[in-house]
Amino acid sequence: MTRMNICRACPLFLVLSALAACQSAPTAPTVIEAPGVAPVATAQPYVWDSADELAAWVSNGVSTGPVSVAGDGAAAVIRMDLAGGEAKLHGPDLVPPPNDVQAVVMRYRWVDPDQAGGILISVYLRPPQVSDQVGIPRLFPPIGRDLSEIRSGNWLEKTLMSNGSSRPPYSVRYLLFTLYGSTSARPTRPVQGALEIDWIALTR
Amino acid sequence: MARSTPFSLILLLALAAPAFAQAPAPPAAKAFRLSWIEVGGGLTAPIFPGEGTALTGTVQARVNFFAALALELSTHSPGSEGFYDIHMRLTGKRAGPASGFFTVGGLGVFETRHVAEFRNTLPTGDVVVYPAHRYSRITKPFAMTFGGGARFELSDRVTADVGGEVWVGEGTAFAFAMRTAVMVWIGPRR
Repeated sequence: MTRMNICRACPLFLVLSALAACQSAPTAPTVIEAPGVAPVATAQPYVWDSADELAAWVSNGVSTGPVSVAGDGAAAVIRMDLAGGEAKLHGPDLVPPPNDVQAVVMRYRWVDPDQAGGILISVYLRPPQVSDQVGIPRLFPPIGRDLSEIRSGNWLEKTLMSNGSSRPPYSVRYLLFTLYGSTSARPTRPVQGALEIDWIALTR
Repeated sequence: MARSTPFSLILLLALAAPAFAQAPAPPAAKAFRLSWIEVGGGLTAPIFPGEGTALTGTVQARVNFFAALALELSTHSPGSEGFYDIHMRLTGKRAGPASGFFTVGGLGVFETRHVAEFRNTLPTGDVVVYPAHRYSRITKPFAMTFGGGARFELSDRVTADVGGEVWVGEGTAFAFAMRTAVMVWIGPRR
């Protein structure tokens, strides 16, 4: 075996060793977007107050839960029967999507409040594009553990804010409210009363 | 860089062929012509002191660069994951139907498996779909192997190897492996 022959063989071994460390690349995920809701014209930009404007949140084939629109004109409200379980209010698409949303404001009350219960209200601000890498901002009303205010049955006007996991401004394609009532009463029973939402607005 | 150092040693050891690989053939030895490629399989039984032993099937291929020097790649796997072993093999001159060999190389891990499609539904109802795919991974060699044994010619194209290896990682011999394999010469002779 000549030195030249040895030198001819050794680089192959080196190359094979160098190649011996690899990993298949992860396959890029795809996103199947949730069904959208057609945009609705509003009397004031980014404010949903009238019966027609609120109906776009309720009667759109996408929202779910025991919700309906009651009343007419500016006096109309979205009404949710809390005993009927969770509701998801899928808002109309914002066209074009604003990219400077600061917060969500809503006026609401608990009709016939359950003194042993509470209501969980939150809203997702769905960005124009989603992926598994980008968190979806979620805002909450500043209620805390003191439920006396919501249990009073009075109209409340609250600015929903992040609990710290996101910061404005937000780019928003649509809003998605999740509404849920619960009670600590024993024996267990459905929570009483109804949640009424007078209007919903975006602040920019 | 620390991982590359053992392979420099491997090359040095490979270049420094042992005496049995350098000795001239005895005049009575029958001349034979190697194939470039040998493929085969067998069994490997690594013994991990204090941990137990295992018995795995081995599939291996060998490229004979010269009569005495070959590159050998083996996989020791009960399925779609296991060890791989890449080493240089120095074979001595025949003594009857047998010849001794010495190996030095590296040991790594490989894995290949099917990953089913996964769907993650976001709170907004959007669904992130991760397509089904095949995941494959092969590590750099994490240990060195030193081995030796004997090759027996069973026929014109079939040989049997019997030998053993010691697997050394981080300066410690962590396993001893007994190996046996039947190899078939394929392709044109050298």
